[in-house]
Amino acid sequence: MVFEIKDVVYSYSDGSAALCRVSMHVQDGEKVAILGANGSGKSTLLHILDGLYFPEHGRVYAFGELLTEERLQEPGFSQAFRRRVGFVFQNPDVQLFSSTVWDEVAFGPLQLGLPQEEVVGRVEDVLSMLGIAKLSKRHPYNLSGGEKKKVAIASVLSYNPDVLLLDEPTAGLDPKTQAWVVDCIIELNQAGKTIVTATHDLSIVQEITERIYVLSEEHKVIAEGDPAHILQDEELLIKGNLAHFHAHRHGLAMHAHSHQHIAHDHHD
Amino acid sequence: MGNMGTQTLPDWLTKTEQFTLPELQTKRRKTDGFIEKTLAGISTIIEEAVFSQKYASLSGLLQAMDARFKLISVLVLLLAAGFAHSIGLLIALNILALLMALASRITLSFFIRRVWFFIPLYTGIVVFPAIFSFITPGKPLLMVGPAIITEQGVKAAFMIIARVGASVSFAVLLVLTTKWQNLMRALRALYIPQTFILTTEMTYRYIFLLLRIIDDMHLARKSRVLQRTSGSENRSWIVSRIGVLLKKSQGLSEHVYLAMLSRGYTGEARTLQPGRAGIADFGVLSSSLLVLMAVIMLNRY
Repeated sequence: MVFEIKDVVYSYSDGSAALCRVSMHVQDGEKVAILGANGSGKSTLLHILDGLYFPEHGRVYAFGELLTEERLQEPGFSQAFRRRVGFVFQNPDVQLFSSTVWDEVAFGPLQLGLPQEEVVGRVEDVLSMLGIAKLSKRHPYNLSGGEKKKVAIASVLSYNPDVLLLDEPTAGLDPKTQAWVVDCIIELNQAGKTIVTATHDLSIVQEITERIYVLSEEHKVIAEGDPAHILQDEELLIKGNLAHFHAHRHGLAMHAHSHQHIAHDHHD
Repeated sequence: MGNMGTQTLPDWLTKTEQFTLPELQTKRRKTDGFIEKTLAGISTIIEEAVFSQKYASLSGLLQAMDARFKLISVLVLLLAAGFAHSIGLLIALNILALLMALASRITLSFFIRRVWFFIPLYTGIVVFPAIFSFITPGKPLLMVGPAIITEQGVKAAFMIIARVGASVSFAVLLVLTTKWQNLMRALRALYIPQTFILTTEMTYRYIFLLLRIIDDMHLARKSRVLQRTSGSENRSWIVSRIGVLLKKSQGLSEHVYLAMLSRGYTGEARTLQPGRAGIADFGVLSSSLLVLMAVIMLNRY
């Protein structure tokens, strides 16, 4: 078991609820999606899984060990945990703080104590694998949104984590880069990585996940299941504010139905 | 027209209101674009400082040097400018800076503008009183009304301006011919604490992002303001935006810190060891040391 969280409660600093008694688990090598509308607590949940936020109530287990603030202050535990879990933040500007793309990708492996020669080799490999070697000397500020996302992913892949936490990985990207991100997620999972994706983008869910947790606007898990069942449950999607009731005219007649945006099947 | 959730558009929103654009006035009203000008000015300065690699990318004397040796050489030359006690030596150092700029393929007119535009403005104003007899008594040179300009005063003021000019020239040469990231790496090699360097790097990184946010806020307001706003309205808007920006930057800093923690940062940043220096690096460093020694020796004469 990679993650197991039980009855987790978390509130923001202003006292408003972010997560209410949330329980979930993630198995090794799984592709799991946390589906929820804006403000449902998806990002907070990923922060908790990455040991960046700590719940007021409930327990979080990572790789069978209790994940607490105290444990993460132990250098050995912290280093081992950080090496095994990589987090790609929703906003790349938060994640790209170094002065060049190369430094950014090298930051993680260097902090985690990898030998210098290995760091250099890994940075070159990851940049070339993601097709961004030409950006290596560029300042992150000058990159496009898609390039920033690729660099953010590279900055995590360079230390080869077992688990990838992806927060809204396709948000704000053009269709081509979205497709690239989806392919990247599938390929990484096939290589044995565990992928946990927080998203409200129903168009990618089917492709990037085999199990879904749905968070409601009340910050609770309201469903868990495989994508085929979850995405066909209109009532559930409307309840989670992931689909809406859509009305439009056909000539003079008013026509109304539930409405969601799901990708068409891809065929080779 | 569809509906949005359970709400329908109010009637007024479905009607097109007619407005005709006024014809061009022959007499142009003076526009009050101080916010735009200030924002654009700050953006340009930072962009030039951090992102402009026009001169740093050329192949010249200083560009070819290892940034660490260049930094030390410039520090030595700054010391030389500080030690020089004669006008002749200071002029010689200024000429040396110009020659180094030429050898580094920097356009002289650009270099002189960059160095000498602000010096008269700031240093000149500060040292201006020193030319009068009530600050520097001495041999009268000129009478300006009741005030007397003294030879010693003019000499002292000239020396300060020449010294500042030489120091600024060397510093500008360093910044113009070194890529920002290499300069930061050079500071690391000089055992400047990593936390300080990381903070400096990140400050520059995020100042630009915050400037973009301010610019967007300003443009968003401008696009919705229908009439000229008064000075007090503008000031109160600026003050409120400063507050918003402070809150945004605080939120941003918290998230950046979490992103660093997530990738193994423990409070002590680890970086790659710097590469090896070449013979040319030792050559320029030795020359700088010779200049410093020459200045100290010649001060005696």
